Amino acid sequence: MLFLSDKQHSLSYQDILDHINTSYFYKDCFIYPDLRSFFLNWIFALVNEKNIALVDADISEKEIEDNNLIINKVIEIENPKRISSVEDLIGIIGDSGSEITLFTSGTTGFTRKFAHPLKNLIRKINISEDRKNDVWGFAFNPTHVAGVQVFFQAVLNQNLMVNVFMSPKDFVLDAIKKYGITNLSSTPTFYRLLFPLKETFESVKKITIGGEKSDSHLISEVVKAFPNARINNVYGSTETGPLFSSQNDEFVITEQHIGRIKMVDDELYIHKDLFGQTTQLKLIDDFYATGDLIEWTDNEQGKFRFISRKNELINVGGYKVNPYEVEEELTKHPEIRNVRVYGKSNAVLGNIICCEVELHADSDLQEKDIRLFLNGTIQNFKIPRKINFLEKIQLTRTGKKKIV
Amino acid sequence: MQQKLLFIINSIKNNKFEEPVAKILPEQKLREDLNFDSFDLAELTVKIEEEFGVDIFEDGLVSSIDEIYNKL
Repeated sequence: MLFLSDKQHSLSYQDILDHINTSYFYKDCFIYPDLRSFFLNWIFALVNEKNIALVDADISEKEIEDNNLIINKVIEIENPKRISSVEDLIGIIGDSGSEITLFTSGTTGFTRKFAHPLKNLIRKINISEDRKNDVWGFAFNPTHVAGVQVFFQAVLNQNLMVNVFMSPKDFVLDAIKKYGITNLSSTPTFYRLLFPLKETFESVKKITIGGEKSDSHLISEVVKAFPNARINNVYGSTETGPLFSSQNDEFVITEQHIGRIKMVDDELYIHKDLFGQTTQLKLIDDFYATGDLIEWTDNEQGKFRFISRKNELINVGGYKVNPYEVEEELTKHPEIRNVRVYGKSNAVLGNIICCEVELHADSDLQEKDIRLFLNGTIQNFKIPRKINFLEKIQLTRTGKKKIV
Repeated sequence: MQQKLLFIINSIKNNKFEEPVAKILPEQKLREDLNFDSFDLAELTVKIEEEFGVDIFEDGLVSSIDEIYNKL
């Protein structure tokens, strides 16, 4: 039974068991050369109840220094646990008392670390007979909270994961067909880059979207392409772990959240009980201000929607522009593949709305066409005044669009 | 420089679906004669800065073509 299919390296559950039963060493802060060695190292630490930090393969010298990390130090375990079967292995992984340290993605040019007991990270994992035949398209960075979720969901159900993270569109689509992928979990950017599609993918039963703001247009495109899939839009963060999920772009406050979340000036505040231990978070009366702006869509039922990040609203001549609103409109254009909207300081207006546009291969769309397309759909002050056409919009190491 | 500025001005006019101008004159006012609003002026500064490396509004308002030439 295969656990991981990666470009050059694959890994079966038996390979993992063999590694566990023959190894004495692991690295608690491992710069991994490939996914196979990443997972083997991590699972060995989990099985032996050792704490581990998950760091990015491309972590910079500065990030290592800032966080006082000692990387690639080999640690020996004197009497490592030996396990007789794959079933026992899975059980031991799920019961591990290890603490896992994750780092924020550093889109703001600053990384922070957060330690989570394993049980915190896997509280939303669903283990059941129904999930035994799931095949995962692994479309997240494995060292970040969303990738960690997919890993546990897959491994604890003995599923196969096919690595498609940051892969080109055709590779992803071929993998869905070849392996009969049933579950996909990724960022809105990942799905956006798959469109438009000429065919539908019947094998996919569940689609999870998270990590960036998604919108109803994107969700409707996903529904069309994956007609058998149930859509799950999730909200979580490195700071909090997974928190909310929903079938559309609305989230619902459940019983476990009552008294633990609140809204202050449209911003979501989360009580410290809901996130991992950290000394680095600033708390206000035990609440953490997320910087995420929300609006109630149904106050009585506790339904809300994300609007923007607080520090991402752009002030244009006194008007507040939400870059996500502009991006959402632009991505409705059939010739636009991906778009990133941002503000640039300007002497006349304070800021000017700029955007980067990635077109589909056969398009020769011009600045004027885009302006015409937006005219009348959004207010004049929201329309980008500087449009750069790029071959490829740069993504962060977690597969999201960069924030300026 | 004059040709480049004319090109930039017409690209802004084009973006707002207005007829291009055949030429620009030093005494022309950006708002009154070229019908530029503050968003157009902001667009103009960005485009001029990109072309010439100068932020024409950095130290005070500019209202005519002549004043742009002086800044450049």
